[in-house]
Amino acid sequence: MATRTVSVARPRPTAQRTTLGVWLLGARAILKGMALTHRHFVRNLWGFIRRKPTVFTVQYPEQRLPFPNAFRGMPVLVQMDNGKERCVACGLCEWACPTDCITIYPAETADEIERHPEVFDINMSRCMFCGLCEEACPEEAIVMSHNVEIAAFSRRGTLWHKDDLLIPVSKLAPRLQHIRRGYDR
Amino acid sequence: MSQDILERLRERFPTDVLAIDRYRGDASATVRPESLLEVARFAKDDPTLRFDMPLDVTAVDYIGQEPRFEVVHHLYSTKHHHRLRLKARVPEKDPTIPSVTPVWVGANWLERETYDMYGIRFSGHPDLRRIYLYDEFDGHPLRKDYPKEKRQPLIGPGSRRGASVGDEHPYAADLPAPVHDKGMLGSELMRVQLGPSHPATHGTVRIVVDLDGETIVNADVQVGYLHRGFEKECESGFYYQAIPYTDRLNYSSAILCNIGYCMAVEKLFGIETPPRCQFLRVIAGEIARIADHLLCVGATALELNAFTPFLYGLQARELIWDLVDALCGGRVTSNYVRIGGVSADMPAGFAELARQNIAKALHLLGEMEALLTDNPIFRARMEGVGQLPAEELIAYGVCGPLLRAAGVDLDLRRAQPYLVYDQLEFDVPLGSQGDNMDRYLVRTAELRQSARIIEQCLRMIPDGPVDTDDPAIRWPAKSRVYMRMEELIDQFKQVTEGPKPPPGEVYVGTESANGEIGFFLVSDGTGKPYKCRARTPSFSNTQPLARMVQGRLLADMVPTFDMINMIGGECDR
Amino acid sequence: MPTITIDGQAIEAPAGAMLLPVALENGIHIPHYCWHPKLSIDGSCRMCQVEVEGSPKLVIACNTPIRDGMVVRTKTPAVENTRRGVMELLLVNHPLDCPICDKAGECLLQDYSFAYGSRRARTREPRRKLEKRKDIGPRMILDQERCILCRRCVRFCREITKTNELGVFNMGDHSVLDILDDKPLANDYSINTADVCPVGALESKDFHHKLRVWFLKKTESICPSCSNGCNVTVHHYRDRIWRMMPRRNDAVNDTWMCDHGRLNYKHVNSAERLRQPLLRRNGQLEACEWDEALTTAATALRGAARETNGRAIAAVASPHLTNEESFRFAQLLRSVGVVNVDVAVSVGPADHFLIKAEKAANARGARDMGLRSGPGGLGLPAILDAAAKGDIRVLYVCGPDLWQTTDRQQLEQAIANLECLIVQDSVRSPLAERARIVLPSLTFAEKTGTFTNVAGRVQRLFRAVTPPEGQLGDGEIFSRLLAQVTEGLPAFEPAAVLEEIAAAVPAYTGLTFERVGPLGWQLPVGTTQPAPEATA
Repeated sequence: MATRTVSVARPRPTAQRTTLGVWLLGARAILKGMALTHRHFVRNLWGFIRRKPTVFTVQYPEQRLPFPNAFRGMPVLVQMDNGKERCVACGLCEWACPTDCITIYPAETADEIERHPEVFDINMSRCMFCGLCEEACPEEAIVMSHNVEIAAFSRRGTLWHKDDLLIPVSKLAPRLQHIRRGYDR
Repeated sequence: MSQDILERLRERFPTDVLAIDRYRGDASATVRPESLLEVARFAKDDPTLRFDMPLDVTAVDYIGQEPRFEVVHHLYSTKHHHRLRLKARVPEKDPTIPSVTPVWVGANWLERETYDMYGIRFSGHPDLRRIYLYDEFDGHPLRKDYPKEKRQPLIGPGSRRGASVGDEHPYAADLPAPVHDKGMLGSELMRVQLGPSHPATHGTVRIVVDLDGETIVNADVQVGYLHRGFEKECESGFYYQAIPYTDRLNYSSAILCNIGYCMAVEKLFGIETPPRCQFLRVIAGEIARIADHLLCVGATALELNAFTPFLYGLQARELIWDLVDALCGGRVTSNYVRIGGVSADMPAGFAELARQNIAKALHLLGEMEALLTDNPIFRARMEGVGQLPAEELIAYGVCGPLLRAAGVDLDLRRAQPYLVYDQLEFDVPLGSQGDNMDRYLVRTAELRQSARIIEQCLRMIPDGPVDTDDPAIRWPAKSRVYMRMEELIDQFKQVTEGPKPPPGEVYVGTESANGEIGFFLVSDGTGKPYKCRARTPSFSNTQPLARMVQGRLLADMVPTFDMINMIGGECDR
Repeated sequence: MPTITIDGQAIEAPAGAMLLPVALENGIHIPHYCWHPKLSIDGSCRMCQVEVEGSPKLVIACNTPIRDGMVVRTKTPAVENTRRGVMELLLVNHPLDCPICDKAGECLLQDYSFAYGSRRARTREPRRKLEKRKDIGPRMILDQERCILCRRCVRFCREITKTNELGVFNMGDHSVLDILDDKPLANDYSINTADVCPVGALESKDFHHKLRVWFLKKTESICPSCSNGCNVTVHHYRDRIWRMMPRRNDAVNDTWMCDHGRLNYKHVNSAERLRQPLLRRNGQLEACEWDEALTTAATALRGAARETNGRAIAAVASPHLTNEESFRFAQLLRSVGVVNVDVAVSVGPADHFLIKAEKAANARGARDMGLRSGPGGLGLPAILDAAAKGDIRVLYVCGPDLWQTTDRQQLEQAIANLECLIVQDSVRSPLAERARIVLPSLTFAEKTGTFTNVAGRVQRLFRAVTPPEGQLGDGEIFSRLLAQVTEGLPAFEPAAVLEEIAAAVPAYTGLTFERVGPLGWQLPVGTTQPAPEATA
């Protein structure tokens, strides 16, 4: 194994210098620093004047940054083309959730798929967006979306019901692709 | 060798050592509680053992058995780089055991925590009071018969038991008596409180300082404001449900905590992850380490009133977070590592993005250093401040950059290599004086070494499977779960019953950003951990803060505290 | 006794016993599907194959009698391979129904596949198509695709209920489990087929898509529906009962219970439950505090007792109360000198298997505890005649059986002249509507105590569901009334009261909760007797 220990380089001790030397050293350091910040200032000012901003700051919410495919925003339910949820209320996400924020009441349907969630509630104030529900789901029915703008004005507003959670499958293609590709070996 | 350690103990204490164990290579000895102090002294002083560092003191509640509690000490030797677990049982009726603070001063807070959580009394402890919870707390929460949902009565101002306006502050009762009564000029000492909310301490901690003018005579550091019951929560869930909670220990470098925990569970199973997984873990871990060190340096600058380098540091962190985000979907709460693997492989283009962003981050670090390192104000605040001799730091259980700044060569990636660190080339920066300036320099140097490690890993990473192939340990691949019966069944069994490691106990320590983060897991064969102990470096690192600033000015408290890098989640669990 | 060795462990076993039950009884788990302790041997699933020294091929443990000196190995590579092969073949046609199947979490296919099966599937969806969600009876659903053809259900219908509804039709690869069109699975024990089915092919309609089994907590109890006292497990979650399943007790019910008893739990969580005591004020029944209700009842009892030496008081006890509660009730009645006591029990049809005529769990126990007419006292129906004549001033009725078994008019006449009617029941029955004091009672699932079944077996039950705050429970009600009419408050703690019973009732000498145990304690024959109609 090729590791070695090295000593860190401390700045030169000031004790040996004369008072003037110490002051000059200090002045030099301050000037160096100010030169750096001023360089940034000039560059940014020029960018502002030319309307091609160079600052790192993003003017949210007018500007938004794209999220990577892997990003875990709030969990949503996949809505099939026929308008129904893909979820069959198997209960794995409810059980896998570390914060117990999912409540499912399963019920029978008359369709070919005989089971569905009559009630599917997620308490978003408890959800920690860990993605274990998405990992546990055997039906690709609950996935993490890119939505994080979910503030509410009341406690009740943080309780999301099934209809609020449904997102059409066509809008979720990148995430579904990520799940299938990401968890494969 | 664990063989020799245990044989040596047995040889010296033939009747006091009741049992020895080498499960999964961990040297473990059970001793009589009455002889604990003697054994501890021998473990520290004997030249072949030299256990000078107390890593952890905790307890396990074996309810139903008698004696009920098992007090567990984890020790490390900075000379021989070996470990020991010392255990002793105490009964339910009178859970008293000798304190090992005469041997290792760092056991002080650890024993207070064990008392707080389990009710075990440590005889001879200089100051046995609760550390995380308030004094009126009823019960000891980590006991198995303490229900997780139990409510506590409200206390403090505003409650029925609270003080009314004009009374002495209700929390004054829990403070220690002042050390000296009179200051230098014959005046009284002034008691001042830093925190728990203070603009110059990032992290929530309450430091009660006795001042003689501006000089600190005594400081009582009170932690626990971010205590959320990590251990209790992990005991009530499955092994895989604890991983998001480990994110919230050291939330500045969450991936390193994930890695430590998952390695501990894998040790319980006795498995190794495939090479590609190990490289991914190293890459992700080092990226997290860069983020943590950037934050530490930036926040220190902020609290010394240098706002600009702080923002440069945050900008660098944004770039690092973009990497973490692309890898696992979360910037702070990463939830990246899994038991037996990782949650996802690197996305396409990650290597390029990593090289780009890390290069930019290092450039920004260079700018931060240009603003700070030679700056006379910064130097005046940091140089020669906050030192303690290396032996004292070791006796406190301090490790990580704090210890390396004092010149002690202890980096677990080098001393006890794990994952693929033994295949990599990197430097371990050491300081010489152990003051805040050294700590700052060690961190920035380490940051650059992390970048070096990442570069090597990106070149060396082999192809191959990312996860262990055992469905009893790692969940099956999703696309197979949708289509195949056996995998669907395995997914169901795994999610509903959790991975079930064989009964036993292990300890795994890895090098996180602040030092050794250790996980002590006790398995009873079910899918839920019987005990899930996180030995966090911030807790031990914060303990000597009072000693570091004793006799110095109040203003020196700020850079010292910042350079300790106490992450609240890690310190308070 | 012959001795065999399994995996190095020496085990004594009776001659002629089969290897599989011997192994299971000694804690050695051999996976199996078709074998069941109470059904005949089938040998069709091939899952229990083990290695026996001296035999060239693996043998099925369910149909291999033990021999002295036999050496058996269950953990060899050959056995592991075979299990893997059997699992693979069983799963080849099994639909990917786990997310929608009720059995997930208690499914033997899941358990054994995870433990012994292969790691990677070599086949994928789709599977062969058969009938799913087939309604085969008033309480049962069949999913033919999930069936692994172990034939446990077929043997159950043939050997236990002797009704032969289920059968495997066609042969070989085309085998399918089905019923005949004109003969639904409708016998009184049909839901037991869902118990024996190792997979989710046969499902109970009552539990269909209700809750995932991993949420359920399990408490041992005794079925309250008849005096057979079938041992059950109450499955509950968040203080609500979701289903009941039989517990094995070879002396009482083997591994079975009847459908009626199994489904008779809904009253526990019903919204109709009485939760608060009621008092009649100004002609109306109003909710009141416990103290007021109990004081009024105690005053009425004491008053009538003082003036007529207890002759003007009558009590009708409930056969649904535990022995401990009945004992306390008897103590209370004795303390006010009541001799007109009897137990009202609904009776109904019985069969030759488990269903008994008395439709309550503890009529015998109530009588054993002394709730029968004392010397010179009246029993039912004499109590009602005396009340109609005006000789009874206070009538204390527990349980619903009185109004369920008495003619409406006769009951009206009987209670018309009462000074005070006290009714203690779990719902507000028509009789309670006439009462002066109504006291809320608890159901079987909310009590810890013992029942004595028709055959004299004392069996214990545990509280599974916590009643809402404020409900005292029958034992506590009787204890507080006793405290008001005598001195001192005897605390109601079931285990302690059982010890009092052991001291007071000769047949119950020496009984403690531990001695009753999970399988019950049989009272010596002839010490106490059931009522004649109990064994009709």
